[in-house]
Amino acid sequence: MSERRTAGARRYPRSPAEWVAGAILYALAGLSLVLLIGPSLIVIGISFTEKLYISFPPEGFTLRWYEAFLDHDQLIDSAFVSLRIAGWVTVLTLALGITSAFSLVRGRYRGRTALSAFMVSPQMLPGMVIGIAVLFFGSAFGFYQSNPMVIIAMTVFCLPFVVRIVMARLEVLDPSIEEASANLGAARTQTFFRVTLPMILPAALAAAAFAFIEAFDNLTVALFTASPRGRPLSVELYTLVQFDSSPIVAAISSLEILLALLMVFVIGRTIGLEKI
Amino acid sequence: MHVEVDSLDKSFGPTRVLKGCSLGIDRGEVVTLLGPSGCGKTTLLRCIAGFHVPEEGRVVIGGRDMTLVPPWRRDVGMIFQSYALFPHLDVRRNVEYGLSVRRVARAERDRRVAKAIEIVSLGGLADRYPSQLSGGQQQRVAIARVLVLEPTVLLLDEPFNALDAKLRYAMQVELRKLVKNLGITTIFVTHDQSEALTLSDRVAVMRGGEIEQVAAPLGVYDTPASDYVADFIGSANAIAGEARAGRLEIAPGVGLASRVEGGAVAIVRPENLRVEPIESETDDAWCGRVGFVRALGATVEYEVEVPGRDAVKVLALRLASDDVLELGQVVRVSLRDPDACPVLPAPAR
Repeated sequence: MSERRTAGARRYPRSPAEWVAGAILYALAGLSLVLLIGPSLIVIGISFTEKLYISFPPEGFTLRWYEAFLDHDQLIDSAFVSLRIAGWVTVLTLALGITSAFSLVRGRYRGRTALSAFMVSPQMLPGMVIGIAVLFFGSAFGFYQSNPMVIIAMTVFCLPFVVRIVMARLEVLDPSIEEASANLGAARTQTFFRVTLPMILPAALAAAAFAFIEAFDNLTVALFTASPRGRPLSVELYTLVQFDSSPIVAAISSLEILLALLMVFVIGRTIGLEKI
Repeated sequence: MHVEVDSLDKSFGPTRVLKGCSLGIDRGEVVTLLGPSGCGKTTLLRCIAGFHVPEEGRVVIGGRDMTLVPPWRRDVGMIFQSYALFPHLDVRRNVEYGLSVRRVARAERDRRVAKAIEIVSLGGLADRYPSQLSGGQQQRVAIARVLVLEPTVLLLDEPFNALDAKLRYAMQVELRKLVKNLGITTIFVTHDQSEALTLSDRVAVMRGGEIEQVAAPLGVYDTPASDYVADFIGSANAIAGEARAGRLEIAPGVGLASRVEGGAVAIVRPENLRVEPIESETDDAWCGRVGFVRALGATVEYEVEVPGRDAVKVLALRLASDDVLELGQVVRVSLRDPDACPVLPAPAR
């Protein structure tokens, strides 16, 4: 274990076939990387352009699009709307996700597997379908497009993610740890709050952080459930790009990329990305 | 505290794991539940701890019927095979857990935790987390975590499995002394017969959900209730035959006194046999060829292949000056003490 590969480390000689296979693997990995990171880099590049419309490659360097965003009251308001929505969705997915996962893993009742499949199914559906479904369902009860409706739809959309991760964590927990707690005198609720919850919380928080990012910038769900006034940022931007191709959109997107990176960085430093 | 298990029945789905298990354990006694995996020993222990509720029968601890009392109200300490330490708590808070759940006052809590940590000699490690400890240290934490509650009954589920041989032996001795000093009624589960013999006042040998024999360690060894027990505790040659007129012939010219008539089986321990090299095999004596040799240093184990009969296991003490017999050597097998061979009725097959 303590051995580290040094520059002159000896290796087995490679056959030509292995060499070709290795080269193909590297090429594919490189291509995936470019496809994943490329668009973000282009967006960030465009956000600094001096031109008045979205174009690539960018020309010159300016921060005016960032300033424009900060001066644009409507966009700033919608950013706060999105933050509030994402906050609520995080809290709700955490509470619902942990309790559902606990029941699905530890419960002993009929139809548990079916329920578990049902709980994770929203993830297989396009956000649009969930948006429309919640809209129709809500209207049937006199409940119309509004931020609470966005929160509900978004919670449905993001919940499977948290449920799955917490379930995975619970499944690998040694059940004798909870038995030990009972043996030492802790009743069920005490065991849950003192032992089980602390052990699954890191994973749950990491999952909730991703739910936050998703709820913050998701468009398809919000498009159908947000009210025309006080719209979330994603919908506001969508409307904006239909009439205006100003690089302000690129500036906002770059800020969102920064937010996501920041989140990943914080999770990596505190909880550990391997928990996801 | 006296522990009484009275005709327990427990099934998991269609499998009946305990079939009318009964066992009484005296106050301060150390009893081992011994048996192969699947014999129900862990299930029995978990019924005593309260993790399983038996369908039939009663668990009585200190005169109180505990059968339907949940585990957290039993005051029965348990050490788990995996130790089951709380990974998110350091050693001190692991040990403190039971006291903090019971809302014991701070000062008393600190005093008892310090004492428990000292008993298991973990002094310098109180601020470590379980992942930073070795297997032996983790086990000490598990023991301290239970002892701090001053339980009157201690249950241990194969507690030494994860330790290497040397440490395992040291911990066995240490634990035996500890529970004896504290006078805690202790029930061990193990499939390791030497562990059972080291630790216990009495051994309960289990088979297929039932208790086959309960006796002192040497009792189960010297006078096994069945060839199953004989084979499980130590090693044994079970030699079957027909007993007539109070005598069972186990080899040409070798007879044992038998109280059984008809189908019988003699339990002959390997150390009760002797081998000596001879020139050639004869029909009128117990002889054969050395088929396998395990030279273990202090002892040598031979397997002697006897024509027309089962192979015989022989255990010989060895000094460096002794010759070890070669494979294929023709030998004569003889009994050291014919009276030390119990003769049991042949098991119904």
